[in-house]
Amino acid sequence: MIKQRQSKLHSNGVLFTIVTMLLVLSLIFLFLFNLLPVFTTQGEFQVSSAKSYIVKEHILIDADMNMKFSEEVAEALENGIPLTIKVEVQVLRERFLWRDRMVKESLQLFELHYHPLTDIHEVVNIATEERYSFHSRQDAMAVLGTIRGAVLMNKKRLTKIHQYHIRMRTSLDISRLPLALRQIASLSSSWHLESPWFVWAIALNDRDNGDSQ
Amino acid sequence: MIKKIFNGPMLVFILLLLLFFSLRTISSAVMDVEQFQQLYYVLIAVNLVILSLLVFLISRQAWRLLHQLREHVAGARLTLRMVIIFVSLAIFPALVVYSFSIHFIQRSIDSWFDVTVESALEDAMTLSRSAVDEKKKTLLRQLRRLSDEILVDLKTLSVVSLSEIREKSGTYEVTLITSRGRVLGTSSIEKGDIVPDIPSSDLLLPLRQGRDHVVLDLNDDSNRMIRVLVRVKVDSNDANDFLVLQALAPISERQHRLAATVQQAYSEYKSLVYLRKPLKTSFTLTLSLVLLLGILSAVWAAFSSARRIASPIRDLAEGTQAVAEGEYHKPIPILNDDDFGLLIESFNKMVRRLSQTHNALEQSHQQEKRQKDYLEVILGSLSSGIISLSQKKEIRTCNTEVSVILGVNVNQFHGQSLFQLAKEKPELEPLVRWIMTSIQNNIKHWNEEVTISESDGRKNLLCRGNALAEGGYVIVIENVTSLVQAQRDAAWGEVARRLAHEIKNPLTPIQLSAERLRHKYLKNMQGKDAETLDRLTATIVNQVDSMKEMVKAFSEYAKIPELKVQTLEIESLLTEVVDLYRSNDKLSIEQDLAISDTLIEADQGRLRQVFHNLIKNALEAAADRDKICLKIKTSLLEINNQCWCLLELSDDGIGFPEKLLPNIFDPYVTSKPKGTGLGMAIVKKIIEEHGGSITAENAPEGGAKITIRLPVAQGQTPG
Repeated sequence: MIKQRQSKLHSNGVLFTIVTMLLVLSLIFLFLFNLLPVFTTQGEFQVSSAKSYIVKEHILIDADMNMKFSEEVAEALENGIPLTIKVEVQVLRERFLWRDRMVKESLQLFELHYHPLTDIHEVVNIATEERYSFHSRQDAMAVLGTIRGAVLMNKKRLTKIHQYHIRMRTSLDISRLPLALRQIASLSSSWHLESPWFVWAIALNDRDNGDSQ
Repeated sequence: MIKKIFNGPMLVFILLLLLFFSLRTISSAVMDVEQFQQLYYVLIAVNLVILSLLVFLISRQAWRLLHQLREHVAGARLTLRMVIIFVSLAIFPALVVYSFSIHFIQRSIDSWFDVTVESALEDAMTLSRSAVDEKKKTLLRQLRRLSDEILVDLKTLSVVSLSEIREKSGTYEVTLITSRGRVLGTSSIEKGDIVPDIPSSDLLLPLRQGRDHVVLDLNDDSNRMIRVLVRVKVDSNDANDFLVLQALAPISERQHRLAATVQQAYSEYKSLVYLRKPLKTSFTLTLSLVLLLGILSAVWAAFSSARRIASPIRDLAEGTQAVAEGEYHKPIPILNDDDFGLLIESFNKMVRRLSQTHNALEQSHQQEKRQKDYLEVILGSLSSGIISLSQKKEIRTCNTEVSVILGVNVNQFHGQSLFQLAKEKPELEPLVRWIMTSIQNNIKHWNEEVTISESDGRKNLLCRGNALAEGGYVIVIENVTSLVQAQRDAAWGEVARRLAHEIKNPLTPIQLSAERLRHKYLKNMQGKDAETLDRLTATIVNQVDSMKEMVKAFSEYAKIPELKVQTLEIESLLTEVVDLYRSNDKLSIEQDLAISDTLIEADQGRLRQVFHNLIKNALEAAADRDKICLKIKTSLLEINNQCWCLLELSDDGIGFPEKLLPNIFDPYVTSKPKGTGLGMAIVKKIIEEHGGSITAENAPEGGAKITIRLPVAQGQTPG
């Protein structure tokens, strides 16, 4: 009887050890890789307003976006890590009981640098390699967050018999971070800065614009 | 099939391979931007699923082991021990390597960064900033002074003024613009350049706040410069209404290169310092994942190996249990040609031999049983009683006949001493005492006739004993009562015949001679002589008559007449005889009759003689008394499926003399002065001729009691 009890205790102890070991390992991983919730300033990306209009057969976009970095992201920028801001715009044709079909997709990548000597924030359009310098991060973010008259596509690609809508979002592209930071950033919530899709319908009349979400 | 796959090592092996390739793919995906975007999170999810599945499988194994431990399954403890050993052997070195690797990575990465270099870079940066700031301050002071000197009256302002400022300040372009960005005038060192460089709105912000502003722009290689912005007051009430005097001072190629180099080096170093922590974390994560993979693989391998190693032991334990339960036809399959295989083969050989031995034993046992049954049948069919005694003189075996002979169920006394038989039935004491005395005297063979007295008469038992080689004894007991009786009867019959023959013949001449003497000489004699002759001849004649009577009785005893058997009602016959005596004043008869319709097969005349003899005996025994009471009782008795009618005749007389009682039915045994002593012997002879038995005893309440037992006719059942 005593032997049975000892055996039971022993086996329970082994199972308990295994489970505890796994739990401790999991906690160590979470702790090591900043996966536990941390009470720091959280960043936020938001498309606050956007509209489209047609000028000379082209669909143009005006949009205002709020981009606020988290403490970790801002710290990385201050320490010379270039950040890539991604602005995605998609034109979708609506379909009944079916997934909307993408008509046009536009992806704009902007790289934000900080130069410590001159205390300048530089915004680089990766596609055009145009550079813009700002003497404060707020100015740079304000410029990045403001789109005026950006040409999206030719109106001719759209037909009047279908309904179309545009959706837009902005995010921090962690895949272009330095290699050492990329893996950690992918697992940390502080680095996951992405606005929800901002959606509005396209009005195909000239200078007639929509502004809805 | 699915269960087999789930239990087999193949699934875990596939999972581990998948996990390994998944980790490798994650590693390569991290390197590649496109792959990272497409695959990274999918691979992370796949990894988590695989890890969870592995943990689930291991937990399942652990749970199963726990269950086996609780159920005390053979080999479970060994499996647990081996799992603990394997896991310990795998985990502790892995943890040591892991901790050393982590430590090494931390130290190595930290060693990349030198405090001196960092300090030097910081100093260089500070120096660069100081140099630039000094230049910026000088330019600002100079431009402020020139602005205050030259731009006194804005109404008379001309390009000349701006050119003067440009020349005096040593800048290559001076522009005057409004706070709203409108260019009022510009002067450039380059003649053809008429489009001035307008400052961005953010640069004008400090001026709106009333401060001058100087910025250094090093990023544009083609247009590197120091931009000085000086606020120029206008006569207006509006605080926001002011002019901006902008001067662009060139930076030398060398200065620019040095500043850019310092900035780049500083920026790169700072980013490296910043990336130090994520780099460490990233390495640690990868190592930890590999460690986790290793640990899980080790744990699973430990379970799998332990189970495989313990499997033959479990099979052996089950096989042993099966053998213990008597199953010899269940060989354990030999799965591996290793030491365990050899052991199992030896075990199977042992079980085969055990099985053969068991079969042989079983056959031997069967044969022994058959022989025992055979012997029992033989012993059971013997008319002799047989008892075998063990070395301890205890009853080992016996046949059924011995119980019949001794009148005790000897089977109930197995393992007990013969004295227990004597305790059960005291009449057997002479027999038991004699047997035990012989055994104690170590007599190997004996043969003796022992007489025991029972309620139904004496019993003559011929007892033979033989000592067995192993130390026991076999005792054969034969009931020779009938034989002895027959021999005695034959002897008495011979005596009677001889008496009848030898004595009867001279008796008549003696009587005739005596009568002739009397007749011839009595008339011639007188007086005393005549009286003497008369008395003597009368005595001779009377004694001869007596002798004749005696010879007649002997002749009757010796005579063996053929029985005239017929079926009759025994009670009617008894009543008929008894009724003849009812008129006798000396006799009162009490009847207790209960077998009125019972039939027996008997010679009516002979039985009538029996009853007459018995009643006369009773009357004669009570000759000196006024009256005697005769009780007659009839009943039925069943012994061993044989039905007997029981006739009991008892009186209230003095009973039989005790010393005569054992031989009361022998010839010439009588208590009467004039009896021949053949009455009871004849009665017994007649009863035995009818297959019955007769006993005589003195009733406890006094008086003689005769009990006759006669077999009921076939087809009659007790009523």
